[in-house]
Amino acid sequence: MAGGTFRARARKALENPRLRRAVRVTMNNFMSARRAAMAELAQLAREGLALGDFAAMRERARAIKQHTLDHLDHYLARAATAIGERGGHVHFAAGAHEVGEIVREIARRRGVTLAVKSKSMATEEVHLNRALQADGIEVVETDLGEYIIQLAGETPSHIVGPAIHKTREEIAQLFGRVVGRELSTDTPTLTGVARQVLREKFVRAGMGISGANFVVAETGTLCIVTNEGNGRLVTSAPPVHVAVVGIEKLVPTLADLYVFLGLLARSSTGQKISVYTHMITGPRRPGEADGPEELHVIFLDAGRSDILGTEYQEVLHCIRCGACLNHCPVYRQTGGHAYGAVYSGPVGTVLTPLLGEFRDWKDLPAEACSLCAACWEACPVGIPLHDLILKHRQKTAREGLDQSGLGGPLRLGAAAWTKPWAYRLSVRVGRLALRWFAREEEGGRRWAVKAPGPLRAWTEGRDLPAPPEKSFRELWAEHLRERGQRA
Amino acid sequence: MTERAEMLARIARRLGQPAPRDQVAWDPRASLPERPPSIPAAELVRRFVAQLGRLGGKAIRVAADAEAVDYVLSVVAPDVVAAGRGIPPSPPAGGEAQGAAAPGPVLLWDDPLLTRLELAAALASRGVEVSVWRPDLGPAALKELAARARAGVTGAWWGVAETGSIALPAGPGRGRLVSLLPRTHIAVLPESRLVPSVAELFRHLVEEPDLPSSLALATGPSRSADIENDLSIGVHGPADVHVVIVPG
Repeated sequence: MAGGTFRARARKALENPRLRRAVRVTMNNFMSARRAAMAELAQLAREGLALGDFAAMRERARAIKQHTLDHLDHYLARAATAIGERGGHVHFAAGAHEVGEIVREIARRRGVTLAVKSKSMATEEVHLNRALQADGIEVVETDLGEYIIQLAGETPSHIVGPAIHKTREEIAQLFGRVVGRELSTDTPTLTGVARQVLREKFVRAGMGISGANFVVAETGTLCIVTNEGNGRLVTSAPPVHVAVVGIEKLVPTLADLYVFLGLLARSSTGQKISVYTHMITGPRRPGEADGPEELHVIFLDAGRSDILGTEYQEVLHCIRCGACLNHCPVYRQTGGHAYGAVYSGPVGTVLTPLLGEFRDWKDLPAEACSLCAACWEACPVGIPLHDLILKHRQKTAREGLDQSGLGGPLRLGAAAWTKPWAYRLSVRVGRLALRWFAREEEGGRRWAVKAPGPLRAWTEGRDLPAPPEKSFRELWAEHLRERGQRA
Repeated sequence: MTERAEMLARIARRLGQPAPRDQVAWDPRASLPERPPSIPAAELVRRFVAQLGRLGGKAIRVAADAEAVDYVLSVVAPDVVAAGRGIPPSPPAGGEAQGAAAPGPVLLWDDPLLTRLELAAALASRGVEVSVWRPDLGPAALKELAARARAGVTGAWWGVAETGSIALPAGPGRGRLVSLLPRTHIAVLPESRLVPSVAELFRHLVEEPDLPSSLALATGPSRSADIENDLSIGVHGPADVHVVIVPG
């Protein structure tokens, strides 16, 4: 549970121009690359080289996810059986405590003192690092961005780019402390240092910990997608590999995996495919000299099964690509830390109140969304995030948790607008009031920039053009009168 | 086991089922496109080379095995090649934050394709230190070798023209670390293993009776943009990636 409110955290973010610029630049890069990648996908589809364009692929992806979740009992059992048949160990963890216990037990049995991790939101969710560190185990994040924020003692600000908010000067300082000398701030130097430091960790580590982007139920295959190669190293170099996987990550077959791989990188960074798509089917086999001797897959519930069978089920379709963050007008201004939770942006706004205590997080759906639905348009699995956020708001109102003071006026307005005369009257009053507060601005246009009392909060960040002399209805009535007709 | 039964029962309950279901009807065929028109091998090669080049890797098609050997040599031991032509050695290019250690061995998969090329012998005869991934050397020694190697040379199971990707399976002679720890990775790919698209690759994978313990689909050099959105190459995986397309 983060301190303070979304509003307070957002304000802090908005006062940081450097952060806002970093977020904006990153998002714009991702968005323009994504557009190009989707155009290229449409071309492939025309050549018969892809299942379809974005719309068609997304439709199929949605159908696969829906089917899998509707039959999750079957697919989870099937995946567990397939992993077991291949020599992997399968565990089922109800929550954070259980995951910690399972991993610590494996580490104790194997005498692990150093564990390397590749990026995993699921392990962030359950604070696995803390659980292991309590046993004196050194845990090192190996994704460059995650490593940077681990050194800084911070949390990820974006699902895909965890450290987009850090400057190269800050990074040079953090790395300099690790190697005990002053470093120049150019990218090759910094990545070279990270490569050196982390390589030694990969080679020495007794355990590799990862998440998984997908698990193929039919074959028991874990699919891990990275650009740096740390995902492959973490799951190949240490003698033990532990994968922590949310139960919603399943897909039925390898053919279905293709659909998601076609969408994931294109939606996320605009790449056709990530640099490394790693498919792991069981541990090292007889005669092989690398790869883990032991593979453990921990299926994590942590509140997910409570979402099954509810009107929110579709949020479990999420493949963590970050497209909804990149396209969200709120996220683009505040960045991820304002959300105060592991998952930020629109998907975090839906997911965080479901995984945590609803009343602690009800300000996210209330404050962090303008219902513009850009997230839904960008989502590669078609989650109607804006609808689900609206459902959160309805729940807030239903359960009497709304403290904004807007409930009464809104109910009054809704009642008034069911009667034509009352509607006309309210519009007239509103128009006159707005004109009253309008200020002359450049270009001869008048703007309403400040409203009194309870409306002030609403106009603090927005200016409204002053309404015209006459409303459309009045103009229309005049028009009809001129033509000698009756309204 | 109880945790398993508990979780499955809980999920079934949430989905309105009395108990976990054994049978589910699902047709995965709709997840792959209809079979695409066949594309001539030369066009596939052209696309593959262009794609990998765009990502900062390098693909080359050779007409004969001997050329493949020459190409590998020019990558792993440019000085040897230059000396053969009477050119004095040039100082190594920078880019590494650390002082350059003595170049390690070239580490090869123990793979029929590389055996066919007689690559190990060719490199050794030019004075290049060569090691082959033989499981009997033991995991610890092999890990240490891979970490020291100047380059890793592997075969490849498939190549994908759409993306410039290669599929690298694990196996007794096919160490995962060979294509992962050295700064330079060279993959040798028979032309007949080129497929037009990721979809087509998956059509082949679906037909495989048994997936390997690890199958890495690698697409160009390792990359990251985690430092101020500035693209950097070779963070953990290889920075220098070559694919040599050979006949066969």
